[in-house]
Amino acid sequence: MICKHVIDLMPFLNDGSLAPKIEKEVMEHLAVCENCHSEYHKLNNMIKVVCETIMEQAPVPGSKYVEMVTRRIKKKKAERTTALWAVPAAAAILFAVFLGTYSMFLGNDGAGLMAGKKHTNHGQTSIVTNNPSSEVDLTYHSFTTYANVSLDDMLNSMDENEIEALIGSEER
Amino acid sequence: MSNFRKNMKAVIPLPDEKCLLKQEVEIVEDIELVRRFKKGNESAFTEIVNRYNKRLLNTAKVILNNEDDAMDLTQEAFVKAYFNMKGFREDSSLYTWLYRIVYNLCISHLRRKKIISFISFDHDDEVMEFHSSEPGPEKEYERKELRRSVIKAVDALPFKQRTVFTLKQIDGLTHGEIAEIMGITEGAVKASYFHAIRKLQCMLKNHGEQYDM
Repeated sequence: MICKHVIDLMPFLNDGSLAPKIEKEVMEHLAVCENCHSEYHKLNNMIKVVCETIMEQAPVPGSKYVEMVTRRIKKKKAERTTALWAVPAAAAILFAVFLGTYSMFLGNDGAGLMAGKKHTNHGQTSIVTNNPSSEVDLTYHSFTTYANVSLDDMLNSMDENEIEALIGSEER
Repeated sequence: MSNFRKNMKAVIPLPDEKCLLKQEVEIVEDIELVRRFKKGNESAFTEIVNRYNKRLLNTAKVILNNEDDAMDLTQEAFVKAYFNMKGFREDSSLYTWLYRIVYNLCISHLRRKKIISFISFDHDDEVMEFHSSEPGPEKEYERKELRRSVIKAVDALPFKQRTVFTLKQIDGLTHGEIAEIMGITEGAVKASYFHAIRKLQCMLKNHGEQYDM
């Protein structure tokens, strides 16, 4: 093996990356070549000095290092717990708001009609309730329920008991 | 023997070196700690932090060249390890896994700061004390000069080469382990290490007589 090859392989001696046969050849060369042996010695010393310099500058974790890691872990756990609850909670609130709005809409329809009575005024029939808006609600509801029958026709054909029964069924 | 292996020998008493290799003992211990932690033993994690914080901190400092950032990122790495320990496969070593977390955090940090190509060491002469048995002023000056040159040379190494050199020489990791941590091939690790050595030799050739002790 020639000196150039030996010098190129020197950085990998004794670290297990050279094939045993190659490593043996290099070691045999170093044993007989003074120049290469000197180069190998210099290389090892240089690496030693570089490592010492790096190690001298190595930071020390300090006594509170573990405590700081633990604090971060606790903080992260708290954040995760918050995140775990925040999304379902927000979704639940939105759903509740939606349900509330929807039930109010449906509630007007039923509750307003509770006190409804048939009333005819100048040939125009309507339901008079405690809540003025119920009349509109009934119109809407009746229209949707009996789509092909006009409100006046329907109410005119009903007596008060039937209207009460209708309101009762709607409420249910 | 690298500092890493020396440390491991100091940390874990070996009952019989003929029976068990040092690394085997170390892996068994780490795996046992991981298992205990997975079963809910929090103190096992504290043991892991105590075992690896110094080495990870030093590696991060060499990569980042900033002690505060290294401190911050290694702590973050341990937090990540804590929450991802369940995903740790026991067929690989814990320290390789931890180094990989630190390395990836460092890379992300440097990319974010866009300083990956011009990191420099702290040139603090006062910190660079050379422990000498002959504290003559002339010798002391020479050694300080040597230290300054070494730092400058390491500083001038490209990021990958510096990382490979540190992981290999300071942490005592194998080429395979370094390749796993850095996400490159073993061939690339060897090439980076070879170039790192050549550059250091070239930059420190004027100090050949000084470090040829």
